Amino acid sequence: MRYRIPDHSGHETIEFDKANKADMERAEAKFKELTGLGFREAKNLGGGKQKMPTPGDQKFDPNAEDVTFLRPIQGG
Amino acid sequence: MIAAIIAELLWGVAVPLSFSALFYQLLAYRRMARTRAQQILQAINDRRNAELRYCPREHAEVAAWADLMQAARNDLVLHIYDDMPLVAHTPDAYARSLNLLEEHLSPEQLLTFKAHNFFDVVGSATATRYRIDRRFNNFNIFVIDDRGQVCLRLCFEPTKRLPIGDVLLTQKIYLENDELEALRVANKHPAHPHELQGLWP
Repeated sequence: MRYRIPDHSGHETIEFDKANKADMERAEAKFKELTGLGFREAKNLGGGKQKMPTPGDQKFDPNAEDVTFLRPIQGG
Repeated sequence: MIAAIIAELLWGVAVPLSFSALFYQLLAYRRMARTRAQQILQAINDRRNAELRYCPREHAEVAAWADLMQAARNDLVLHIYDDMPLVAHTPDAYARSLNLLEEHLSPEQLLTFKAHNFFDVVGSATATRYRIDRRFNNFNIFVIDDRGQVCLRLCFEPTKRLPIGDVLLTQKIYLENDELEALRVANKHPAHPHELQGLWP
């Protein structure tokens, strides 16, 4: 599992080993931390498609492979 | 009698001594205050000098970035406003953000993005077609109507200033997944066809 978080450096990548329980707990904790800060997760489905649940449906998915976390948006 | 004389002498000595002590104490306070003031002024000067020393480096970084991008894409309109905060957004950050964006684009989107600096997305709620163009700092999202004409320009961005690739990625994913939220927060601007002449093939 891979988290990618856009930031001032381009993006930060965090890798998690699905076979490692501690790693997956860390992934879930990071997920909760980011969504708690207002980030929205977008699962990369390949072929240019992403699935971004609405804030009410945000849930940690241990089967996700590639997740990008997006900051909240504002008028530009 | 003797005691009175002694007391008088002590009084005569003690009072001036206490006054002189007070005087010296005040002088000491004044010295301390002056020292502290000097320290503060020194700190201000140091900081100002540090900033003055840093400024040319910032401009050099921006200039280096601009040269790099100009060499890479001669047809790219440089976004000076976007890039002034690029004191933090180094060329490497810029490239990394674009790599992330390109990984999330469909083959068709990637094709037009590489060739012409824009890609189209379809809104998740209304199936409206939007064109996201990297060459604009603001209002870089063009709403395209059924006739293929641009009818409106939109602008929304992440709450933190990020390199351009991250901004475009956020715009793409929001429009394709939560179009209504994007439309809710976006600023809107009328599109003037003459501004867009020759912009796209």
